[in-house]
Amino acid sequence: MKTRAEYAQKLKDLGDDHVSEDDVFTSSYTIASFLNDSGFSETVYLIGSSGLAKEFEKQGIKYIKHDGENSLSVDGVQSVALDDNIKAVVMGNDRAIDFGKIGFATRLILEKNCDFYATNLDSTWVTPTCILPGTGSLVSWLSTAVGRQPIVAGKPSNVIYEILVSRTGLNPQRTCMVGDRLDTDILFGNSNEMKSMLVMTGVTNEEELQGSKIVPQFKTFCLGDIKRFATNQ
Amino acid sequence: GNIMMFGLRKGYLNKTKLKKRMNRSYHTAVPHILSSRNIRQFIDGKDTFMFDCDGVLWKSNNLIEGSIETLNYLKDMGKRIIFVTNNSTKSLTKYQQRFLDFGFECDREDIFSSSYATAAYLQSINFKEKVFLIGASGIEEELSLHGIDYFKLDKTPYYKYSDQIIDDIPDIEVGAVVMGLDINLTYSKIATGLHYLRNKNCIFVVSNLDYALPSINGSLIPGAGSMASMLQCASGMDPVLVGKPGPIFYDIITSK
Repeated sequence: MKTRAEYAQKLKDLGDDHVSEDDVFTSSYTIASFLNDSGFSETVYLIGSSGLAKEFEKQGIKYIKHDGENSLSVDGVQSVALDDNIKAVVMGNDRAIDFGKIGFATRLILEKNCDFYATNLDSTWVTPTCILPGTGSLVSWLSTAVGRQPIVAGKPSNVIYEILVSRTGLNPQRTCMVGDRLDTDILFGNSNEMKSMLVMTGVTNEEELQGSKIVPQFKTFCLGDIKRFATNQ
Repeated sequence: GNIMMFGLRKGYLNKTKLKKRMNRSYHTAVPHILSSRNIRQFIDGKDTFMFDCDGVLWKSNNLIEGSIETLNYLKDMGKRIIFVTNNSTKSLTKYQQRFLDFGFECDREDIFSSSYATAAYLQSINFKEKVFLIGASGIEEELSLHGIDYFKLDKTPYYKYSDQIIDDIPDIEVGAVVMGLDINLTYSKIATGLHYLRNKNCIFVVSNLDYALPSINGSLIPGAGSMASMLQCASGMDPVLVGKPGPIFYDIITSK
């Protein structure tokens, strides 16, 4: 996952002249901000990408992460002593997920009663060429093992909504959320008293939209339609 | 032998019948505490004892004190001893050897592991296609013994770019994705399973859904169920459950 600065740069490279880092809210930024806002001062056990780790470093939150050389074996998971300073498990997308990481996190949550957070619960990750397991599928390895659902930082949770409001001062009734996913983007907009618009250039197709209880207020084929309709092209 | 398929069509579990069978209760609401006063009644009234293994006979590699003595006592009393374990990691032969090492002699026919049951189930539905397996050698051995063609991914590298994962997926017609406990589970294996399950003709079978297992020091570690939930979540498909408490395992045991 990219940092906010990297996202802003990507948009600038694509031609958006107005964007800055402060306009970008990632689920990594959200979870780190949420922990800081709530006065968290201990250590976190992180499962996720280097982008997630960078965000925690940037926001000054202590963390432990296993990767490569310090990854735990099956025996290691069972015999390792659990650090009393770790008070929360935070999980994001990690394509290097393994038994050691999930096993260690399982023990922290069950034996040390650590809080359990996830950046988001998207079940799949849709790319132009394929459908891959999303963060939600990876998180389910841990949530099923511990019998507990995480507090979710990202859409459609109101954790990210609270962070947005406090950082941007937005008025929900005069804000529109635009997205391609019904169970994250549109649900997020609808349940936080914002307006919502679905675009059809991503995950959702007509069939899924017809069968869904989540109804966007507006729908259009693609983002470019806004300018096209507004300027009568 | 003939397997009595309790309302099952190929690859699909009849949930209504499963629920009815699970809700049937032949016992009182509160358990009787076993003691020397009721032990005779407990033993005499039964011909067969079915034992789960993990957490009953042993914990990981450590035998629980008194277990083998009880098994031998019941066997000497003429009782039929059957072992029914959801553990899919070992084959029947390995289990039989393990019992022998611990001091209890039994036949392979008395041991039912979910690895055996998974292969037996596929055989019972006349499964003739290829299996993509995410699991341990226990299921592998049983699939081979039952003449079922399978393949698995052993070493999956870390891919920097998602598209590379798809490029490396073997372009094979897969009829079933089978999952058991895999301590070497990786993202690529789940991505591969998801890819095959997107074909509507491919079924999803799991050896067991135990969410967590007792570990050496008494805590819990992730089980096969927690691993299968990843593919369940990504594919949106509920798997056919072979192991306890599903009806398939029972049908396979009673048919023998």
